[in-house]
Amino acid sequence: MTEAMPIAESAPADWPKTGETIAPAAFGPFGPARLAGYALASGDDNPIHLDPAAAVAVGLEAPPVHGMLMMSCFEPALRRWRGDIVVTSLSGKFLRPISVGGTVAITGRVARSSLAPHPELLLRLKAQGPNGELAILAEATVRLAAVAP
Amino acid sequence: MIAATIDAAAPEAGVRLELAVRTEAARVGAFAAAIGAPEPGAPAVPLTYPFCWMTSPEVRPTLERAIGDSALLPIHEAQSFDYVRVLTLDADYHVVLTFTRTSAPERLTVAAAIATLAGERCAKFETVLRLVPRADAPGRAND
Repeated sequence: MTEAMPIAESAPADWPKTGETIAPAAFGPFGPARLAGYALASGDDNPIHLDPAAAVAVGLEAPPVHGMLMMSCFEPALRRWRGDIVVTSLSGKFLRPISVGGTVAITGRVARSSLAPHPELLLRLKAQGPNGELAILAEATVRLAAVAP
Repeated sequence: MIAATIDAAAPEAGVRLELAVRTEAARVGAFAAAIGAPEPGAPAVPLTYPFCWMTSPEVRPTLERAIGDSALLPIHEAQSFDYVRVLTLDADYHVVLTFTRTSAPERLTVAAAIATLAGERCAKFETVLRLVPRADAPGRAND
C-alpha cells in the first residue's frame, strides 16, 4: 500500500523562517569498507569507487566516495535538524569528488519559508569534504509531516 | 516484466525500459544500513533508494548499451528526486526508465517515473552521467 505524502496543513510556532541556518551534520569517514558495502547494497559497483587503478584512469587521485552515498546524507541530516519534516524533493550537482577515507559535512539554510497552501521550506544545501571542498550543491523542498513519524 | 523499446518516431528520446520492481524489506534495510545507521523515525524507504533500480541486473545491459563504449566510464554529474507519494516496504511498483545519450560532451541522462501498479504516480528521478574516456583503454591516447 502506497500512501500519499503525509503533510500537515498548519505550521507550529517554531516553523523555520527564511534565512535560518540548518544545524550542521557530519557523516563518515567513508573508508574502503564503507564504499564496498554501499556498492554491494546499491548495485553501484562502478570500478572508479573500488579500484584505485580505475580512479587514476579517469584522472582522479584516489577512488571517490559514491556521489549517491554522499547525496544519501542529506535526508538524515535534515531529519536530525527537524524530526517533523518530510523531504519531497532533492536535487544536486556533483562538483568535486571526496576521496575514499573522507568525511562529509552537510550544511544549509532556508531560502524560502511559506505557510500556504501548506507549510513548506525551500532549502539550499551543501555537502563538503574534510577540507571544506564543495562536493555537492543541492536544493531540497520539505514539508511539515502530518504526524510525527 | 521487462520491456525495452526504442522510440522510432523520436530517436533522440532514446531507449525506454519498463520494469516491475519491489521494495523488498531486506534489500531496503541493507541499503539503509549501508548509507548509515537508520535515524529514529526515518522513512521506511530512503529517499535515494530508487536509484538502486537503475543499477539492477535487469537494467544494466540497457545502461551499458546506452553508454555504448566500454572505454567510457560514467561519472555522476547531477541527480534529482521528486516525490508525490511515499514508497512503502514490500510493495510493488512500475518503473519507466528513459535513457538519452548526448555528445559534446558525452553524457547519458536517465529519467525514471515510478508508479503503483494501479497507475498512481509516486515519484520521479533523473540521473545525469558524464561519460569519461579511460586513459588506459586500448587504442586510446593517454590524454
